[in-house]
Amino acid sequence: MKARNNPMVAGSPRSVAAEPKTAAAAPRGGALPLTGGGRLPLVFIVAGLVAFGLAAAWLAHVAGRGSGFPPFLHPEVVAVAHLWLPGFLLSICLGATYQLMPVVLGEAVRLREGWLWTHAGLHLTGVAALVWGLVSGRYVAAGLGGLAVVAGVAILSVATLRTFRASRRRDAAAWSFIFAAGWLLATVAAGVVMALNRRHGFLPLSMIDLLRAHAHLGLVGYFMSLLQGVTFQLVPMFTMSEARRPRIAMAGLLATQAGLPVLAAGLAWGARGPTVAGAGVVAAGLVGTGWALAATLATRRRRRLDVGVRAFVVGMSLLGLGGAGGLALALGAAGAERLLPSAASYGLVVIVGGLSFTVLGMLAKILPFLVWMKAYGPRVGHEPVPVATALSSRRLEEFWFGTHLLGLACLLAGVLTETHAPTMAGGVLLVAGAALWLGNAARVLSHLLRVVGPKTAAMVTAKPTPAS
Amino acid sequence: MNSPDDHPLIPALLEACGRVYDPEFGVSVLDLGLIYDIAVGENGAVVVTMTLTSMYCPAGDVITSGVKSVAETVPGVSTARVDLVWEPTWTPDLLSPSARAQLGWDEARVHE
Repeated sequence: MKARNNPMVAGSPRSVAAEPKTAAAAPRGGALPLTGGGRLPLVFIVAGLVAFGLAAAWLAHVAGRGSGFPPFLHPEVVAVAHLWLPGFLLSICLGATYQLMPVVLGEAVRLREGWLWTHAGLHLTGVAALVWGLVSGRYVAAGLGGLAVVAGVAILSVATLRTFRASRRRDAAAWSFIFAAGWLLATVAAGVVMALNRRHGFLPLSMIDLLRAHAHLGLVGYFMSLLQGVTFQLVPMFTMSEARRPRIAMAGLLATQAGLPVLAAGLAWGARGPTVAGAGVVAAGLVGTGWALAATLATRRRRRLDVGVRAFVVGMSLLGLGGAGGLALALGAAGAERLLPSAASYGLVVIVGGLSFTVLGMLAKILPFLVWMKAYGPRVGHEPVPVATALSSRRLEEFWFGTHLLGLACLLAGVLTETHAPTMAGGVLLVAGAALWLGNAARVLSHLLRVVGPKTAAMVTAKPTPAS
Repeated sequence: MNSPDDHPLIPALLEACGRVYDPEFGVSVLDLGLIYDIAVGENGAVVVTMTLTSMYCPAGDVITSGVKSVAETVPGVSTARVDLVWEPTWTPDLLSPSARAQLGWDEARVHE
């Protein structure tokens, strides 16, 4: 082993009475406070998990009534899509963003904490009103809820812009926050415009085409852009690897930014050429991200991937598959009725597969860490504490992963073959997977109420998590 | 001035640092190779020079505070200070053999 200027590792500890060496750099990375004391990210995340539970309950309800999966533009499905996307996935990503942005940018969030809590309030009430309005046909309530979400996202955008300007980091991870915030603002604003258009009819465009454009602004612009950047912070951090191919990672992110406006315009106006061109550029960007991710993973020192990282990698792969499927759909856009099952399966691969696996996988890593920081961080050095990874149940995580994957496969089989039994089985499996994931999350969160005492913790730290 | 290699407090300080774990990897800061130097003054004032696996480590504050706290529990230590440095840059080469084993480091594959 190479000691590399490390006397402690070289086995020759030193003691000197002379004045100690001066630190070479300020403790910038180690002194960043948790945003909102760690409570703000947790509030967003817990709210997202509640939405996850409600969406899973809806799936169970659909499976129970036995009348099959409704068509993808059914009002009930649109409402649940909003429960799943802005409610579940977006809430969790917002919480993760408030936790990760200072870590990535090396600067505390540059906005007063009161404004950040205002964002939390606007987002939670807004999503609740939006979903309730959509499911009950009260579109004014849905519109008002949407406006609250827009106002919240505006606060996030200001916070992101100010923090980014204060930071010197300018790689894909840093830029992804700016791009994602911008697209998120565009997405929620487009949603409100669509709601107004439904009432006043001032846009000479098909509602279905507008919905497709709106969905892609959010899915590709916000979620994909964020993933194309933070992947290169999170994966090295959790697998002890080095971020590789940074230019390719950046090119992948930029390709998405270049392709999405063309794709969204093509979808909104129902124009095949721009749709194909935009989808092609976005798909090329995903290839770049996948390339850089594979190169990064190849350098990892933690050889076996734990469930959270494995789910994340599977999710990124499914997003790549979804990108290829989306491009294929765009190329064969004629005969839309015949392609409806394909469109539904595309949505399943991207949302239930790619996004859910990436977000839940990373959350399986972030949630224990946040809880550990709150519950045990202040005790480190004073008494034995468990490590963050010991807060989760590995068995529950493994069962969730397998159940969710099997559920997705059954749903896809059911939708593509238009048969009832596998669709229902897939729904039941996804609900079971959600229950497993939420059960594990409840176990992690319980440490906020009941910390493990020194004796138990000593046992946990004496047998740290093996290489996983 | 003490002899550089034989200050009696050093073994206890190293043992104390071995009780502070990285919350993600479950490996002590000592086995991770994060402790670069320990200096003991005449009055038992200790300065631990250390780094983090990443400048953007979100647990940095907790880890450095933990090292300071455990150092201050060592009998004979009057005060402890932690200096966080980024030079030399930490690399996985600094992991101890037990940390490598715990993380499942496959040396051959890493250097392919």
